[in-house]
Amino acid sequence: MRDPRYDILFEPVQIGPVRTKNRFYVVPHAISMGMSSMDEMVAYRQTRAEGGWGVICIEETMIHQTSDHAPLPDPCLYDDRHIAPIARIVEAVKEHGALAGVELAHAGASGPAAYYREHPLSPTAKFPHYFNNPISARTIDKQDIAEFRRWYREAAVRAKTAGFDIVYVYCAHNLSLLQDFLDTRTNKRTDEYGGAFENRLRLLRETLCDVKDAVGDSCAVAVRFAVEDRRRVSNITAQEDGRRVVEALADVPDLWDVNVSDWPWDSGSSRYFEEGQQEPFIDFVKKVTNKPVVGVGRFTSPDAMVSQIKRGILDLIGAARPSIADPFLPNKIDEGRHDDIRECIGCNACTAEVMTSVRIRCTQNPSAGEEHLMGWHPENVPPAHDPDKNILVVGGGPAGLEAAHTLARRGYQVSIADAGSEWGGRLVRERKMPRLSIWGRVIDYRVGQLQTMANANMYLDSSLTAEDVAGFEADHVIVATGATWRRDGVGRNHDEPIPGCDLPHVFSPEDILSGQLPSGEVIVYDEDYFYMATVVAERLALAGCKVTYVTTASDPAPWTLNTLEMVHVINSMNEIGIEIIVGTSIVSISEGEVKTSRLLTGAEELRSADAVVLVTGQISHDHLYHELVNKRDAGEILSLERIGDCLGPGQIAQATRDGRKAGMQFGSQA
Amino acid sequence: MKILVPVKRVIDYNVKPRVKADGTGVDLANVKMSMNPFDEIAVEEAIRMKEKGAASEVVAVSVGPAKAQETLRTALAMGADRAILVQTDDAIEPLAVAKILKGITDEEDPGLVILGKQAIDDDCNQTGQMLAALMGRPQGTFASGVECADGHLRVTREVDGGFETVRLALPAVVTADLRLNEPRYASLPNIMKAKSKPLTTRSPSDYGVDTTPRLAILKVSEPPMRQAGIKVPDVETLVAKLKELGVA
Repeated sequence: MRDPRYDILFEPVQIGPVRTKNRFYVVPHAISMGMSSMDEMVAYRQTRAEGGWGVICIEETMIHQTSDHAPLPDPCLYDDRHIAPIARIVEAVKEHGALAGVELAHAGASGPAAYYREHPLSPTAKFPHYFNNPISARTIDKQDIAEFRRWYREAAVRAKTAGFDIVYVYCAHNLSLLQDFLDTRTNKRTDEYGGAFENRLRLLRETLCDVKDAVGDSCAVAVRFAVEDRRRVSNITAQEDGRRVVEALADVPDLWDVNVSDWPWDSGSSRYFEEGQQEPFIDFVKKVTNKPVVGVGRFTSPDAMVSQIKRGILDLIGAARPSIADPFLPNKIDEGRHDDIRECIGCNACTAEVMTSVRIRCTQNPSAGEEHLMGWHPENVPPAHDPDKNILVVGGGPAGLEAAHTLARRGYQVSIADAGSEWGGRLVRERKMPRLSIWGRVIDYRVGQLQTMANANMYLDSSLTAEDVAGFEADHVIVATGATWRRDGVGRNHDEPIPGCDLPHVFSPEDILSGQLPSGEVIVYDEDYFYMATVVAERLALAGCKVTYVTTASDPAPWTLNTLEMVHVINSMNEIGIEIIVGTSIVSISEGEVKTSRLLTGAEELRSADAVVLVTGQISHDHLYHELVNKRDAGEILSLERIGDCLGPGQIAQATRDGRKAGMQFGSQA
Repeated sequence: MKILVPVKRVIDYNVKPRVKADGTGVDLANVKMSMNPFDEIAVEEAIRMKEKGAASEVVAVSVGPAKAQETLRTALAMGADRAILVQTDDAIEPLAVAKILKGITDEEDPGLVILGKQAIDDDCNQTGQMLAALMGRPQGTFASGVECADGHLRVTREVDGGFETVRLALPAVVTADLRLNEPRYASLPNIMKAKSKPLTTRSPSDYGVDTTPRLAILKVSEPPMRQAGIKVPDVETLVAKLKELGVA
């Protein structure tokens, strides 16, 4: 039963000619599926509609072949043949009472237009913003502008034919030709589309009016607009041109979908951004327009949402990541099941997949992106084939807890044991490291659910021997005993231990996680390439060490480019005073000194160091598993598998995915 | 000295209880049950006394359905030596439990009975006191500290004004408060080992106790849902609103 405090979230909102059923709004977000994965797209979007969101928008949908982000697959509506497949998404979404929206886009000079081998377009010729393709965007001339307006109008009509309720004009993330026109860095024109503010605004205004004229009778026309460019110094800020755009177009669109650009600031990770971090940038919009306003803030708490509405910041609670992590968030609030909300942890595993052109995934919700391929649903699981079957999960980290939770939801008799005195596996210690506390939600959600389930038994302080496991007489044993950071320096660049790795002043992340910190000058060496080395570096710098971060990669923590964190990683290391040395390998370690080598030149250098932390790789903690294999082969254990870091160390999203898979597959052959 | 620890199987503290549609009680179908948390503290205290050499045997006892065996196994896994289940499917009120426990103390002759100050399901907070009365022995209730010295028990009690320390002659009854200790987990290996510890099953009639309820439950209902509040701009509006609502 819904708490009346949250009634306001379930009020309908009129957007131009259409009306939402509530204030929950899935903003356009890339899922990296594309037109050739239409079944996956339909299932992904439909699941969110089923979960109660009032509006479901699909991502950037290209209006022309001169616009793409290849190799990332975007949907498109530049031809009538796209209408029927895209309409399948609309039908699936509307089946559940949601409105369907589409973000019609032209990527301008942000992408290489590589898929169709066309020349990308720009107000003024320049290289694409984000890709290394050896092609320069060409200047869009008057005739092109007329064509561009026609493409938008025609795509809007196709969108209307496909059944969409909300049609977007896209001007955000520095991924849009229209934004390139507003920005004085990219618009150097001297005609009526360049120079003065009204000139730079002209194409956005014309496009909005064109789209309204074409489909505004029955569709709401929205604009996605970044009110401030936070990537670099720009005329587009919430005090200057960003605000002037909203003032100038105030009631032209039916809906303002506002944010900041670029993506690493809009979808900022929880390591660097709090919930609701965009509020100081977007809070002026509602004061300037009479039209409804939607914005995002990684909101997962109904109280935070109510506050946004009551304080007059937003009319609709926009969400991408919270809807990825919990497609059923609105229904759970409606049913008074707040404790069941699977809260986004802001780790950006979702964006990392999109950035690498793989379909979307989620650490918290392993069913995201698997709705069609694996047939997984975030809430519904197949019932147990035999509810008396008794499963033992060894290890209470992300993988083990997810497996236990999935099996318990299915109705099996589940026991989960962990050697430690706290649930969470790797996250017990990692969540206490700088900036990682929100990641603890992976554990809190699953433990919170399991603790209330009558068929789930949870045992801490329970280190198990192979004999203990065999004596338990489970029908199936799942080993999820995690991994350990290695100490020998073997990693991406070193196939053999680093000479000197066994010296007493050489540390591993295990030491730092356990609170055993070195002092003085410390070199943190990264061949892991994700977050751990930078987290360790920050932890040590905060403890007073003079830290130098050394990596073989050409950028610090290169995987964080995909989690949209690299720029923040670099900024924060610079702020704290951590020296960054890239493209450099450690050759050997001796007392007080480290010999490094520049990968490009082979030039060797001696660097003084009181301590070294080697962050190079992990080793599965799989002794118990191998002992159990022998017991299984001897017939003392019926059935056995291993999952998560115990199977192969990786990101937490892989652990929860393994856990779900194990939980879903048990009994499927029975 | 032998210590008797009565433990109760209750709805797990993590579970949000739901009232049955007909208002006759709390819905317990397929609901997670576990040991009353105050009883866990009592078990822990008894085990610590044994570990310190102040006790020789810890006997756990529960009055309830067959499933209460699981609760006793938890006590055994924590470190109790043996267990007695007084099996009944009836709803048992504190007085009947106290009478059964009195019967057990007559048989077992413990030096100390330690139990939770109350159970989190009915919150009665009666059994320990009733048992002490039936035994005619001293009681130290709401204990946040227990010390054994020269054949007596010093019990620190949490009372309204602060702490009160009482000295009890043994045998005595102690009821455990939240801050007495932090109980250990019943680990899985110990749960498995507990299967081989002795557990005796008895019935209320073995102690000649009539468990017929003396109270009638008229109605069980959920607490009213909190209504959305409003913000007022100043004190005058606040006073006006309070008058409007008839509370000032």
